[in-house]
Amino acid sequence: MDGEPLFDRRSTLDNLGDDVEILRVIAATFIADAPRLLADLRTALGARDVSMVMRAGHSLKGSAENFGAAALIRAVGALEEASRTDDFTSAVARLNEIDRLLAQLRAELQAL
Amino acid sequence: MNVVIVDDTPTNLELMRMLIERLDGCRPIPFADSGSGLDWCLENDPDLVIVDYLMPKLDGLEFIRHVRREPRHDSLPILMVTADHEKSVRYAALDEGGVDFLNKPVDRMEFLARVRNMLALRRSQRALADRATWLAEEVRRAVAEIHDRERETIVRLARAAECRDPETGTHILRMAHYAQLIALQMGLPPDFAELLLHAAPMHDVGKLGTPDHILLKPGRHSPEEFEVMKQHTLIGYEILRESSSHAIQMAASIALHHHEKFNGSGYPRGLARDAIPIEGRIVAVADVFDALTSARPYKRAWSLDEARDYLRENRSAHFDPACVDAFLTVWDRVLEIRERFVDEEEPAAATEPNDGR
Repeated sequence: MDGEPLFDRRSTLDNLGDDVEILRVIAATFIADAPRLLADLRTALGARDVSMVMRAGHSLKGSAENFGAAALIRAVGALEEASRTDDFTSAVARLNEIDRLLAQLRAELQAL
Repeated sequence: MNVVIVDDTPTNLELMRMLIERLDGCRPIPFADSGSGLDWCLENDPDLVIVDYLMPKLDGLEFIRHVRREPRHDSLPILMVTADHEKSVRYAALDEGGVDFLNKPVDRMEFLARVRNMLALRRSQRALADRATWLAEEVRRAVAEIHDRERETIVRLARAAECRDPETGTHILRMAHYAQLIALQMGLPPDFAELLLHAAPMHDVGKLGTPDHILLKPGRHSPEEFEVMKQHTLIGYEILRESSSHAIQMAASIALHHHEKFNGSGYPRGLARDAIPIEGRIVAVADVFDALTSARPYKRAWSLDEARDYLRENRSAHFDPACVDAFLTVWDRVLEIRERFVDEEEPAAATEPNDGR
């Protein structure tokens, strides 16, 4: 995982028609919003509220998708799956992974 | 064009806002909260709505249903943003009509193409609506013009008849307004009452065909002369009949029937009761009342009380009682009409009352 970039610059710019200005603006928006997305997921998991987990997960995936962050999206999917099957131990483990990946993505986007 | 964007995810909302901003003539109106977005749509005039499906509180489908409930927005184009796998959601949205979809993550090419298509649809809708409004206005104007010309024709005809008649122009206006008043008071449709107002002035058009020495003779007519006088009803009918104009059709009937009496003793045909068309029965009251209360070269003007008594006494004999009752019920309005249309110059009053018009 280390050294492997999360942010897929090529597919992102393809989606944006190579509009670098839009990329900068949405990257900044994402960086500012990421702590909230993670906090929502953590709260939902703490409350063991599956529908809240799904909704927070959906928001996080929907935001991260714009940057092609496949590993992060997979981790959120795994967390959703674990909480759907009431496996909250695995879910919490996934949350730590998500925390780490999210920090990495933010750092990569910040470096733009 | 106003493009409303509703998405609770800040990154996606910002992305779509910027994409819309890059389109010529488009103003993005972003909402992170679906409730506020809906309120804006209901109070304003959006051209396109782009709405995310999965949102807290109001989701995309509920949002679309609320927007569609507003009649102004029944064909407003809507784009819903969904993930590929949400197929049942897409089917439900398609049911609402006027909806297309955008895949997540948003792809610029697809996004702009679908937005452009939807806005082209919107422009056509607007052009069609504008054209329909324009056409309706043109038709309204054309019809109004026809009505105005028809009315003008009627007024000129009535004026032509006036030239040969000692009765004044204000008599014609007063009796026409009395006739309208009676019709309304009797509960006849307002359209009918208005037609009566425009048609009644022509009731004596047939006097154009009455020889001067009889028409303008002061004092009583001989029985032979009176027979000639009576002909003005038939002459008027001949002048006006078989018109395609409703007002002139009614005027023809009024010309023919306004001297008929309720008990059948009138002329030219001696019709009684319901056999006399209602417009004839109404104008009989309006015409006689105004003639009585006006001064003529051969008679003085009767007082209002005298004229009112005359109507009461001849209720059922000369006049349809329903018409007399209607007229007397709105006596205040009768007086208003009298105040409104005053003769400029009272003809010198004769001393002897005479009903032989």
